[in-house]
Amino acid sequence: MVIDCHVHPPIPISAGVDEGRSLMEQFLDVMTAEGVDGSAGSLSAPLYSDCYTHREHNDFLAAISQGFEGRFWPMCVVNPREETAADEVRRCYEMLGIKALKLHPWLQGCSCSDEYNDPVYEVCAELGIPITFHDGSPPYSSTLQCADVTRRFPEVTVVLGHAGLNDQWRQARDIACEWPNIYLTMCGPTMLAMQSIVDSVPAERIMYGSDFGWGAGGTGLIRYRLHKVEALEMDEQTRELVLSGNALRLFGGQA
Amino acid sequence: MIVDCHTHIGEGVYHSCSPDELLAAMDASEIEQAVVCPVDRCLAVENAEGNDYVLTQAAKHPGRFIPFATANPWYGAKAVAELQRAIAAGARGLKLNSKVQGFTLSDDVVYPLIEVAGEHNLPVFVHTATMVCAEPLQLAMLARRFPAVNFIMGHSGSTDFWNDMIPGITDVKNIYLDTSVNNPSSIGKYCTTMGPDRLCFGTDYPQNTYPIELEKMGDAIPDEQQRQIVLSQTILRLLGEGVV
Repeated sequence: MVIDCHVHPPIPISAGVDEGRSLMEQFLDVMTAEGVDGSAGSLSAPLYSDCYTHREHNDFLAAISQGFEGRFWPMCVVNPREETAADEVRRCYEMLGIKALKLHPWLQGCSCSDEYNDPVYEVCAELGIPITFHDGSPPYSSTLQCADVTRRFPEVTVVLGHAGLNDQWRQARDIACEWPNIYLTMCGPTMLAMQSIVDSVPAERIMYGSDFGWGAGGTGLIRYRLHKVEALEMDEQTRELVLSGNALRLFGGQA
Repeated sequence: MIVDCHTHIGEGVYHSCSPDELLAAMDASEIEQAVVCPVDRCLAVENAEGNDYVLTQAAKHPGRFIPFATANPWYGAKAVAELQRAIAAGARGLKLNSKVQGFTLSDDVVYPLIEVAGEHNLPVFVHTATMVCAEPLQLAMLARRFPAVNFIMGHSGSTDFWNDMIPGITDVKNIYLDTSVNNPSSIGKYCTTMGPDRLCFGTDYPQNTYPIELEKMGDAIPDEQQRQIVLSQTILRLLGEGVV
């Protein structure tokens, strides 16, 4: 089984719920055809700084995800600079059943270290909502800036969405070894880097992700990133955890 | 025919690759030739050791390895002398990595080395996509200052500089793009926008492996004729091997 924990269904809110649900089915079917059984992720549009309709986007994602339980786990998005951001995260959790948060501090223009994030982090700590960050991109979302959230809020699980990319993967590897509440997504680093991560970081905190759906990328992106992870040297138990087990536990609520 | 424009051989601190390992990987995927560069510590400080190693291995394996030499620009006149020595011994290009070598790609400290490469009509391969010291637009500034020198942009700006690539690089015609690390959709877009004769297939071996990088090229550039230009012809042309 393969679960991709970093996707962006390329479905515009203008599609409406019925068409959106149909597009979601097509999106998931494409992934299934590539050998990916399930995925977790957010829409792309609310991750840009010109989005002022996060609540509507969260409602839309929840609506078009209905019927795909067990195949797709939605992540809500908020603008941490808005005073209502923490309330919106709570609403998504309690009213919409969205149990994960995605933040892209670089594109959202919100430094993840700034204190205006704190109410959002506090709600995530209270409700046990994991936060997937785009990481690896200074100065708003460097790997250590994202990881530092777990030092200030030890109850928050931080998922580094790119495990440091090409320049900060060693920091991702080392901070994940040092602090317990950090997950790494194998989505961007080279194979040599990912092998080093797999050899060092506890297997229970490594996951696969493709970023499929972001931009105009085709299915080649799924293959490129999945085949890299599948080619890593790891024992069968680690392989199962990386490719599906950890994501199912974190996003799918499976013990 | 396939030529890899970006590999490293030698005993490094963060990664090592023996010539035999690289050759075995090349043979398994029908890669005819590869540009070989020194490994990390040899890029940073042990330039002569790294240059001698790639030159020796290229001589041992004629027709398989194309040696690129390096010099850390902070060594000043010594760097220039080392590059000239390596070129006289058979180096076919200059490899720079400002992240490892500790300079900013557009700074004048590197000009003397670019001038040497230009005097010998050799291509210059540079690492890019590291913020502050190896940004695509820094390379564009350097390439505009040396319009007669051809530069190969390692990783073609991947990961975070995709926004700069088409508006900032397309018109700087002496910049060519290495495909290593970058994703298939970006490579396809750059091929469409800039043309296949601006792209060179690379893997950054041993950072990545041939089967997956070649599969990526098939996804990125479905047109076989265009793909073949990227897989070998662009780099061979930059090396002066007269491919049409």
